[in-house]
Amino acid sequence: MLEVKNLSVTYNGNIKALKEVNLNVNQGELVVLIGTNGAGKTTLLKALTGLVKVDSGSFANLDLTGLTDKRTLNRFCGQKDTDKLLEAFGSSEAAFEFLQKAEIDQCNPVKGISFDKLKRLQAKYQKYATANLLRVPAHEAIMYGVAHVPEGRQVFANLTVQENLEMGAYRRHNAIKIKQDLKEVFARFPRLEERRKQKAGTLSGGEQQMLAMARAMMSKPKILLLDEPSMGLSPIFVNEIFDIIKSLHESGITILLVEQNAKAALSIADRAYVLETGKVVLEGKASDLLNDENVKKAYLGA
Amino acid sequence: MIWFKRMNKRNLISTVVGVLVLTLISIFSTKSYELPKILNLIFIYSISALALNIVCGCLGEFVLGHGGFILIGYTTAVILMQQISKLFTKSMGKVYFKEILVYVVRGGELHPMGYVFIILTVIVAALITAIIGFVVGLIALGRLKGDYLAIVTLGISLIFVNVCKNFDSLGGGTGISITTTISSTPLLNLAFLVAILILILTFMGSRFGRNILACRDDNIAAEACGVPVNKTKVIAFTFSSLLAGIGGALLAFVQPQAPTAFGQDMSILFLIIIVLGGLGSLTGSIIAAILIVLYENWFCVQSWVPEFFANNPKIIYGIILVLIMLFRSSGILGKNEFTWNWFYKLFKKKDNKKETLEGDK
Amino acid sequence: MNTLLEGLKQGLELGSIFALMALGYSMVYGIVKMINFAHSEFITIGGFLAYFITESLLKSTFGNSIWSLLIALVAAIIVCVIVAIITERFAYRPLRKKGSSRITALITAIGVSYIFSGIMNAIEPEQLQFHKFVDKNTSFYIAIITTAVLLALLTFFVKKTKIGIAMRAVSENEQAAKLMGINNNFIIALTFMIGSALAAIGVVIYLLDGECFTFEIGSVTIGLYPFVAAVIGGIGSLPGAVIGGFLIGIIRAITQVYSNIGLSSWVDTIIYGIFVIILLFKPSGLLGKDVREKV
Repeated sequence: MLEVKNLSVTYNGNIKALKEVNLNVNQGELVVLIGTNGAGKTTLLKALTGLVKVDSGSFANLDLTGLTDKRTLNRFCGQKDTDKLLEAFGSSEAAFEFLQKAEIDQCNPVKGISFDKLKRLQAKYQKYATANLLRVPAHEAIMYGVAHVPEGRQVFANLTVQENLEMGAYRRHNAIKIKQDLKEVFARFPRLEERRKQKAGTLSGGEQQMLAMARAMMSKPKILLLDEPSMGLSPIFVNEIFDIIKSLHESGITILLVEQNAKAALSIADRAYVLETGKVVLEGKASDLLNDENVKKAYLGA
Repeated sequence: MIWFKRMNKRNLISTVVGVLVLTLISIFSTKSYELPKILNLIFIYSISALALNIVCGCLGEFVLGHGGFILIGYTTAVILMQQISKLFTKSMGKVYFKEILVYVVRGGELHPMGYVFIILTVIVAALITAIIGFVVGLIALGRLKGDYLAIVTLGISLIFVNVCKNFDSLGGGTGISITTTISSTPLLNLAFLVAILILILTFMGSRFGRNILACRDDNIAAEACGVPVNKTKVIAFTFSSLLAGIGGALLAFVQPQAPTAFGQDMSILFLIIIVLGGLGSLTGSIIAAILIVLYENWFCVQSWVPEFFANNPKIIYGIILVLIMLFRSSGILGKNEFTWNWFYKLFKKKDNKKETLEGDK
Repeated sequence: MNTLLEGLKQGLELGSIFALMALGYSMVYGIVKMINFAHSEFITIGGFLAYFITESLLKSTFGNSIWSLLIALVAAIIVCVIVAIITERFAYRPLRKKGSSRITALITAIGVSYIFSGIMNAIEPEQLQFHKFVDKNTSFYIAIITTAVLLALLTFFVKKTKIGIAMRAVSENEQAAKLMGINNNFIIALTFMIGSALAAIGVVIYLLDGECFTFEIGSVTIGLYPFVAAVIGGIGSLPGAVIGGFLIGIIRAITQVYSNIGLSSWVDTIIYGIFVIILLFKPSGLLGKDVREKV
């Protein structure tokens, strides 16, 4: 789903933060990126969402063509048109097949959608379904289904919890759906529901982390980028946060997780990459890395 | 006096020669009509800009009310000279007093007694400004920072302006002139500038100077290292207002100025100078002061310059400011200083380009 | 006693005008953390434009009717908004892109203000008199009602609408707002637009009853008072800006009432004195939020 090629980032003209990093995240996977301070983990996530400038030659291919479920169709076409497309094609897979076609012939197979509209939908799908993420400005990344939970939580402290969540859904316009998702999110994070009218700044660190993740979920992302969710939290909260990540993963969301807490992260992940001074030095199955001697020495403290 | 020890022979000689050349220029400038005024303003503006640079550039706190402190120095000098003049005129008669002090306008020298009077007045004015600066600093610096400090200092300076404007003995809104009684010479102003430069270099080389730089970079880290942040800030602010007082007092002996001129516009003028020269760069401030004075007093009055420039300095300043901020926000010299090493390198072959500007003055 | 009452009334009118202008300062500062010195020039530009348009409309078929005033007002708002967009786009946005320091932004704002002020001076250095559309009494009611309505609308906009919440989000954390899909450049430009529109409305109301003015109306006559009002009320707080505006307007008007004992020449001392004292005791203003410093 996400394929990063030759990603290099240079700060101030001479400090190389990332040196030709290659990695990929498959559909539905939970991939963890571990490394010490200054290895370039945060920079990598920031590069993916356009918060830092990347060097030329870098490429991060976001491919959503593998996703053919109804929700994705809804995302690209909106509720009304999705219904019509489903009616015309029978299944969402067929509808996607149609949208992927290079040219639409003159006869219009869909009732109720004009030819021009159809063409526009197709263009939109083709634009958003496969893209070089690095060319996308930061505020557009979320439109491609990429949600980034930044380091240090960064909730809007003077906005209420609910307003924070509404901001997560800023680029969505279906009020009914947003309300539904809000309910879903509250079901997942009952603590936030209790505090929905409270200012986010008054929450504890762990609750703020939950809010940041919930906020990201409100955008209905295809891939979630988590930057050190356990940073500065008490051990109990760390466990809780990892449980939540696990359950998010189990509900089918693709996750790229950046962590210092290597042991906990590796134990819930599918695959892992080890980043050292801007380079990927090791990659493999999370369970393999957990038993790797070098990793044990360097990151697991054993 | 670290800066002094660090100098090698060549640089020391260069500095001395430079100062001597300036001294000769200052002495002989009195033969011409325009030159003394320009030189006076260059020296005084340099002093005032250096004063502001200590707070804005070295301490990193933003002050928008610099004009107010210059005004205090100016006003104190005016009041003192008025009183001295009254006292002496009473005891000796007006004519005799003038004999001592008034420098004969055409090509004459200032009477040595005149120098003494001016220097004493300037010192007293500077001390009074420093006291007021200390009080303001003590109250404002501990509580406020950033834009709030800037705007509060602006407010305070506007209060000073308003107060001075309301005293008729200070000439009310139009200001009063003491230059008809006594006026200073470029030589004296140069001497003050050199003395102040030595003072600043010594001050900034001392422990206080390093504390100030530490506060600029990070207040909290400095505090953690045992730097008394508030105290340092107040000291820097007081030092700055002391110098501003000297600048203002010297200005009083050069040209009459209305209190309103010391408001926003003058504060911003000095801000322009230090930003143009480079925040934190002492020599940069002097270079920028020279440029600004030459622009206002030489360039604009030339017959071949379109009237537009003389009539609309604000547009020109505005454009300069915006362009500098957009394309070279560090100013002419950035944080570097003009150095003789750099100067001599200009005349050498350009083989070792990578030499930095930093080093000794 | 009558004069004191008159003074209060005048103070309320002046205060509501200051409040409108203070709202612009406050909102812009709240979102980009920059004292927009060019705001005072937006005021001047609005005044100039309204003046020139009413002057030409008075000779046309519209004559002395309310229509010429409304057309002038709308034109002033539009031009102010355009000037604000241009300023934001070409002076402030490049700085934000570079991640410049706040001192850089402040100096740029001063530079922009100087440019506009210089241009206004070059266009018309003489004193002008605005056409007297309404008498003092009516302009009082217009000022009060407009301010109340606009404050209510603005509060609703900022508290309840999606864009308004996004505005608060950007003012708090630009990076996180970007990640939410909020186009911060758009939101900031919008804030500038609202601020300058309010400045235009404010200055037209100020001039409404045949006030005389010069090119210095924004930078000297009205000057820093709206900004001081915004700071006193607490920057970023809408009701704070209005309270600050009223406070300053009333002080100014009352000093005028007692001009026989020379109070009016001390108005700057009184206002800035109060301003400094309030800030010293409550650094974030009367209604401002205390921001705790995070290490």
